[in-house]
Amino acid sequence: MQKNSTGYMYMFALVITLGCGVLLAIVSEFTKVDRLTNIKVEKMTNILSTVNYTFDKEATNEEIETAYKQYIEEKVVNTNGEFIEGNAFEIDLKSERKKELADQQLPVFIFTQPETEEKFYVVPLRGNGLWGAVWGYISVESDFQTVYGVKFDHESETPGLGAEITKEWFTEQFKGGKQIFDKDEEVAITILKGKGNELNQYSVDGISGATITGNGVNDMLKNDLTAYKAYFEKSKNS
Amino acid sequence: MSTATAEQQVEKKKGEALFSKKNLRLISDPLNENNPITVQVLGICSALAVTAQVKPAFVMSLAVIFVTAASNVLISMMRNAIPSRIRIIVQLTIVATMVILVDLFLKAYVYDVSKQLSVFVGLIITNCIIMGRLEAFAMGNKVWPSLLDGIGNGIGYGAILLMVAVMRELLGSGSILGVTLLPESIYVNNNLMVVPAGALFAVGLIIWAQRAHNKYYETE
Repeated sequence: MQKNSTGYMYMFALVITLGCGVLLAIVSEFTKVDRLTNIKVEKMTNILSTVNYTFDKEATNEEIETAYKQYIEEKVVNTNGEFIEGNAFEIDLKSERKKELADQQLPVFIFTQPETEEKFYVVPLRGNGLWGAVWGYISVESDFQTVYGVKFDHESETPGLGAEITKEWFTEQFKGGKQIFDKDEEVAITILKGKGNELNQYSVDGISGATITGNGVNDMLKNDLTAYKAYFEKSKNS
Repeated sequence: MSTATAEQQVEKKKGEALFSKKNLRLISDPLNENNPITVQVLGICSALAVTAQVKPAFVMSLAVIFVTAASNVLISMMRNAIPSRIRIIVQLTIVATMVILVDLFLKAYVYDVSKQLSVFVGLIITNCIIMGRLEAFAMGNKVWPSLLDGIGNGIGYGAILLMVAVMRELLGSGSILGVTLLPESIYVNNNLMVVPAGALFAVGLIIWAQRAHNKYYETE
């Protein structure tokens, strides 16, 4: 066939596309297990990190999974604070947030401290930053009022600005007795604008130059923690 | 006759010396005189996007070196079979395939790094250096020189990326690779260097320094 003929051109395009497609499909299948495990283990690590249960860098995926299964109990609740059926780990917050508030499944991860048997409640969060989604986990003590730890992550915030929400200096601020609800039972914990603010038990310093990301995280904390209010109250009284 | 055989011999010799002077120039040229970023001014967008910190810039450089080298080799291998009317599309398909391969491997085996780079790995596809090398070099050269050319241009790109990233992370965040070198007590971080506009200044300064060093002047 002539190299510049239309038939040859179509043939060539077909062969190239098929070749590339098949190659990618094979590699994708081949790496699938590893990729999905990475995502799963990252989620487990994130949940455990909010209750100060951390792993060193050499920890294998199996070790993390074992620890997670050993110490974390998964529950699903609704906005009335009732336990409902569901797999807390597999709940996709992105699609869950599109439902009516009353229909949403709210996952709770309950961590039992191995030594003290103290319980901590980890709640997943999801909201919007400046460029894309932001999400994270917040753990509360068994008074359902004191923050124990947080972990944030983001899709595409600016490195050095909005992306700083993942950094330790930022998340460490939430430790040490920050309170979630104020006197009127409203979610009061907030990130202020920039650094060097006068702080109280409800506020932490923000990131200079990343006010919109900060606002997004604030909205996320407010909306998502409000949804859990009924569950928190019920658990507190029981 | 004798000259013809002599020429053949020379050619044969050339073919054998994998690291002949001519071949080595394929690697060294893009580092300075023909640098893809500072001289050809290609791939600027990603040079702005991933250079706020050193670590992502470094991984991005490695990924680009792999993609330029691999796609140069592949295109060079089939350069005589590609119909010229659809050559750009074929090049694009190959580049995209390589980039997705990189992305899959990063996600499977170095997950934390893949998270650092997030969307930018996918954006390698749009890096004009790669298409530029395919069109300008791999379409007309043998496999081995194409490989060297790909690696050379990848390194030339990566070197500038790292220089810009060091400047930006140091002046913008006071740190290198996350280690604080300039605490806020002695140096107030310059947010201009963190935003993409800061990279333009950094690249400009590098071009200035390079031209002054090479004594290169624009002529009318």
